[in-house]
Parts: sequence; structure tokens; C-alpha cells
Amino acid sequence: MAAGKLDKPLPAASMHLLLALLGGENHGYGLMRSVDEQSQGAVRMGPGTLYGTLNRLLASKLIVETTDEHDDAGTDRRRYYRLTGEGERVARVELTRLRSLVRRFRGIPEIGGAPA
Amino acid sequence: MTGGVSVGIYRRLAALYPKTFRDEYRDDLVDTFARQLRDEGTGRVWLRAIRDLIVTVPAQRLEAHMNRSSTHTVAIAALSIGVGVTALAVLSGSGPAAWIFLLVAVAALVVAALSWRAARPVQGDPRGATTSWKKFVVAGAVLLGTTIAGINIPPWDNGDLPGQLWGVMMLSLVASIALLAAGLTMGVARGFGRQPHRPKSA
Repeated sequence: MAAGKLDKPLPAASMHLLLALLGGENHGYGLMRSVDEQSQGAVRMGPGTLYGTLNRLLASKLIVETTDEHDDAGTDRRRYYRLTGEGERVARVELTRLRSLVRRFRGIPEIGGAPA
Repeated sequence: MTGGVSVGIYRRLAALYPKTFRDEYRDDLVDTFARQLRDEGTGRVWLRAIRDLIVTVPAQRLEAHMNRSSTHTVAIAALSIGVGVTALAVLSGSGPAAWIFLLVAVAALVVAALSWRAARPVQGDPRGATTSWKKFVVAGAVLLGTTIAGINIPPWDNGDLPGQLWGVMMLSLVASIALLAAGLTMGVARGFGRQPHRPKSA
């Protein structure tokens, strides 16, 4: 994906999925749950968004499918995914960007609240 | 609404996605939807699924259309150049220009093969693809053989081909090269085709 190569911010769904995969390989529904948890319920993907985004991440080689590496691949119908080296780099760049954004705005008072 | 009915309805709605996406992910979409139903309330899951379908179906259709049209355009353009330059190579005799034309033609046909491969859906009917490229090659070979035989049989084997017939023969020659090139391009693209997706067991 051009976003990864040029280090431009990723679309929200891609960013959340890459960050979820930093925790290790997972299957589609597991990733959906991880995104839900890591965003504290703010990002709730539907199946179409999930697989559409995974498809784009696969096409841009930021993730790979690892279903065949599972012992239970014959009985478990779910597909598993993990980050590639480039995917991990992009995820870490994204994480650094978010951290620096938080640092930059740490001194701004919350709306209706006192300064931090 | 029971889970089974909901899943059945969602499966039908998933048919709205473009074929390539549907072929690849329909079972996963339905499976994920079923798991959501199991873990969350039916109303909430449906609300999210409908919102998701409204946004992602047009997006996927647009994406599929754009991918297909751009890669097919490149393939067709490269194939046309390849055929045209091959015809020039044949018509220009055996000098150095013919070899340059042939090199350009091979490069154009390689580009056409790669573009065709990129435009191919991940999953398809491999038997259909095989039949299709073989038909092109056979048709091209038959037409080429007929044309060459036509030029070389009496009374025209001494080069006294009438003007109109000469035009027909040249047209036939170019058409046969086009058929052969198209067939071989599709065959090569298929030979270097993508790894078929692992079939699911359940």
C-alpha cells in the first residue's frame, strides 16, 4: 500500500487491524474483537469492512495469510493472518505517529475539563 | 429472528458484493456474521451489518471495476502493440529491422501476459481458461497454415497473387498472428498464474 511506503497515515480500519496484529497472528473475527477492545468500543467493524481491509492489506503485502501453518487447518475454517516485516514497520510508524500526537496535545485542556 | 434465518438472509445479501470478492470471502463474511450473532444481540449486529453493507458493497464494486478496467486496458493495449509489431517483423523480411521488431513484439507480449495475469480473478474456472487459450492458439495455427498453403499452391506459388487476393492473404496473416499471440499470452499468463486458494474443509 502506498500509505505504508510513503509513511502517510493509514485509513482508520487498516491502522486498527495492523495495530491489532502487532499482538500476534489472529483470525478475522479475533481481529474484529481486538479492534473493538483496543478502541474501547469506538471502532466496530462489520464483516465487509473487515475482509475488504484485510484484502487490501494482503494485496499491499503488509500482512500474509498463515492458515496453512496451523495444525488444525483441516478442521478450522477460519483464516489466520500475521504482519509481514513491512507491515510491522508500518504499524510501528503508525504507533509512533499516534504517540507523538498524544504528546503534542497533552497540554491542551479537555473540552469542558481542566488542563491536564 | 432466529440465528439461522439471520445468517441465511445475510448470505443472500453478501451476494451483492462483486464476484471476485464474493468468491474469496463470502464464507468468511457469513461465518463472522454468525459469530457476531452468537456473541452480541441480534438487533445490534444487524444494524452494524446493514451499515457495513451500505458502505462496503459500492466501495468493493467500484474497486473491482477500476482494477479490472485498468489492467485489462493495459493487457489489450500491449497485445495490440505486440501483434502489430509482429506483423511488421513478418512483413519487413529478414533484415536487422525484423529482429528489432521481434524483440519489441516479445516485450509487448510479455507485458500483455503479466497484465492479463493481474486482471485474472484469484479464483476462476481453470478448465475454462485452458480451453479458451487453446482455442485461440489452434484457430491461429489453422488460419496461419491455411494462409501459407494458400500462398504456396498453384497457380499463385510463383508470386503472381492477384492484388485483391494479396490483401486478403495479408489480412489473414495478421489475423492468424493476432490469434496466436492472444492465445499464447493467455496461456503464459495462466502458466504463471496465482496460487489457487486453499479450499475450505467445512
